[in-house]
Amino acid sequence: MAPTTEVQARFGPSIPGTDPSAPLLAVEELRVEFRTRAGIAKAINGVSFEVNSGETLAILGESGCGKSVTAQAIMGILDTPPGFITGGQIKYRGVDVLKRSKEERRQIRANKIAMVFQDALSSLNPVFTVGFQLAELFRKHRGMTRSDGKKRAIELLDLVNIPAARQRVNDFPHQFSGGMRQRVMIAMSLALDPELLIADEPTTALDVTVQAQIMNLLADLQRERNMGLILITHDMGVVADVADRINVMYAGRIVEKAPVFDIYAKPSHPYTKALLESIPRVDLKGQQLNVIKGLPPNLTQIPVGCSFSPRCRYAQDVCKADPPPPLYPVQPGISSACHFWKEVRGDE
Amino acid sequence: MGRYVVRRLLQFIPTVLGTLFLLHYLTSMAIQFGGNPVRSLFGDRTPPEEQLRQMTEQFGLGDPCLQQKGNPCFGLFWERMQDIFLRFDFGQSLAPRRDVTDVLADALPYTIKLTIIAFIVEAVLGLAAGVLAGLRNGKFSDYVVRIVTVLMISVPIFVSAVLVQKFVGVKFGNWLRQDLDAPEWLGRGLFGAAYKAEFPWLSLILPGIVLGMLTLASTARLTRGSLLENLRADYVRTAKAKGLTTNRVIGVHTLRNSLIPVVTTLGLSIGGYMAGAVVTEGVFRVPGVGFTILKAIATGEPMVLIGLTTVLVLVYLVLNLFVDLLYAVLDPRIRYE
Repeated sequence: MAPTTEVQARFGPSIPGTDPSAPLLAVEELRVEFRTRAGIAKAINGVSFEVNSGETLAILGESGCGKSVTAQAIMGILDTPPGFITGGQIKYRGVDVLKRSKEERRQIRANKIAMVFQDALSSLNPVFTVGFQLAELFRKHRGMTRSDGKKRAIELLDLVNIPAARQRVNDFPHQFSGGMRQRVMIAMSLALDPELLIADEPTTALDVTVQAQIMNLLADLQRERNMGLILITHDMGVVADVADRINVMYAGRIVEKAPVFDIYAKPSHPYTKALLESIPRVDLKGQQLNVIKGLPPNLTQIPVGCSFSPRCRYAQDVCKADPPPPLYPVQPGISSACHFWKEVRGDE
Repeated sequence: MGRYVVRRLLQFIPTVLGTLFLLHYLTSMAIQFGGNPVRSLFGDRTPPEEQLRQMTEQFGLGDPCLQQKGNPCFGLFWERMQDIFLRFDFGQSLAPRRDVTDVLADALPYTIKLTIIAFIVEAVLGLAAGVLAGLRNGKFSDYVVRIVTVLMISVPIFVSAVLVQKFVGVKFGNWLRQDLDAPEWLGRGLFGAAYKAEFPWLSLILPGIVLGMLTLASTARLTRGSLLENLRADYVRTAKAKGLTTNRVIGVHTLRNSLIPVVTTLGLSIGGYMAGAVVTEGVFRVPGVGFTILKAIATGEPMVLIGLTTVLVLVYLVLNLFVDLLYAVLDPRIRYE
């Protein structure tokens, strides 16, 4: 669809009903389930969080805890079926996007909320040049010509520090190295100046040295543009330098929310604590690595009560019988979904 | 790329020679065990020894190895290959006595017409059915396509050709021609039971559909599978995240990738039609290459058989190479070194 006005051509569509003073993104009591032959898997069971401009929120959790599904639900790219959003709200600047038309949701994607995916090689289309895939955004969303779109594509590649951008714009994704591909992916997500960027494990497929470069690039770009950033990861090391706040997810629920410093200094949930203890440490060389025993619950049969209780060393009868604990406020800015957060913190 | 083409062209040589030698050996054995085919030209008369010897020599069948049962006749093979590839002399057919190149030139246009019709049927219907089934995965139309294509694949072409001829060409055609007084082009052309010279295209449509049907089914299934696989691909998710319209996500980002394997089978099926039309042309009596080959087998015409097959083998190999090169154009990840 061609943009209709000068303003729209430059800044993208405006979404009616949005309130610039409302939080950039507020997810409230989001529930997602997957209806499969094996049964209904409750992937997300009431997740709430908020992100503001210029802020980095990290969502931390192990594979299958629902972090990527949350991101896909926000973007509106969940595969339906089997995935269904069964409850809750996703508010962009005060507007619940779940109540908006497909066309409006499409306009929000890339223009307002953009996403960086994990594996850039498989996430970029192998049969089109990088330039085509970047220019496409300008052509389809801003009504630019092919040649203008290509100029902007070169600018973007420059922005993410790809050397010889003018030549490389005509290359195919498989001709780039892993780190360069992820830079292309980031360039693509930033093309239309989104207000919020969701990075789903942006460094998982990369070498450790390249990981740091990519994280720094993301952090710099976020600061320059005052974007909101949701960083989804399972790597506690990646989070530490970049994030402002951390939400820890387990089995489709957020179990702890805290500023990044507090999480590392004094975790308030047994799961967070166990995660921190299982990070290999140089000073404990030669000893057994700490692991969290057991497996996350099967999402088609989540037990009554706290879903971490079978693996929890603080667990008592109340954890298994009662409905899952709510997020208890621990301190301003910190909350924990554990009946025994005091014991976990050692605050007696 | 250039070097790759040259290497592939060089690989043609053993393939062509091998195929032709096999054919040469089979036809030679037919003569060694079945007797001199030139004798049959005289019907029940006994030809004078001298005249028979002379004619046999003229037809290139005078080599004494043709009287020794089991002799592979390497010398004769070598001569024939030199004739075909150096002097472009494909020999002569026995009855009527004509140059094999003329026989081929007469037959080829029919086969090409038939191939064009079959290819259009295959490409248009096969792709459409495959894309429909892929996009409506698990819905009613998907099941219809899947069941119909399985039926089409499981019925061999000599059965389907005869069935179509009997029920469409004869029964339905008779009803049109006699009971409805349908116009000539409809009753005798489109729904005729066999090829009619007055309707050079119309009467080839029915055989073309029969010929295209088998590959149509596999094309549809391949398209469906490939589309489903690509719809789940990460880059399709990226395209959605880029806020592109559904038409663009599917029409550009998904289809472009899904059609790469389909193009390969489409290209190869052209070669298959050119060669494999033997049954279809036989049933519908289309005087094309396949029908001519069939006749040559029945009447024992070694030079016609070898000449026409040479052309078919070359067509097939060139198409094969063309498809391989097309693959590299469609998929930039493939480079031939």
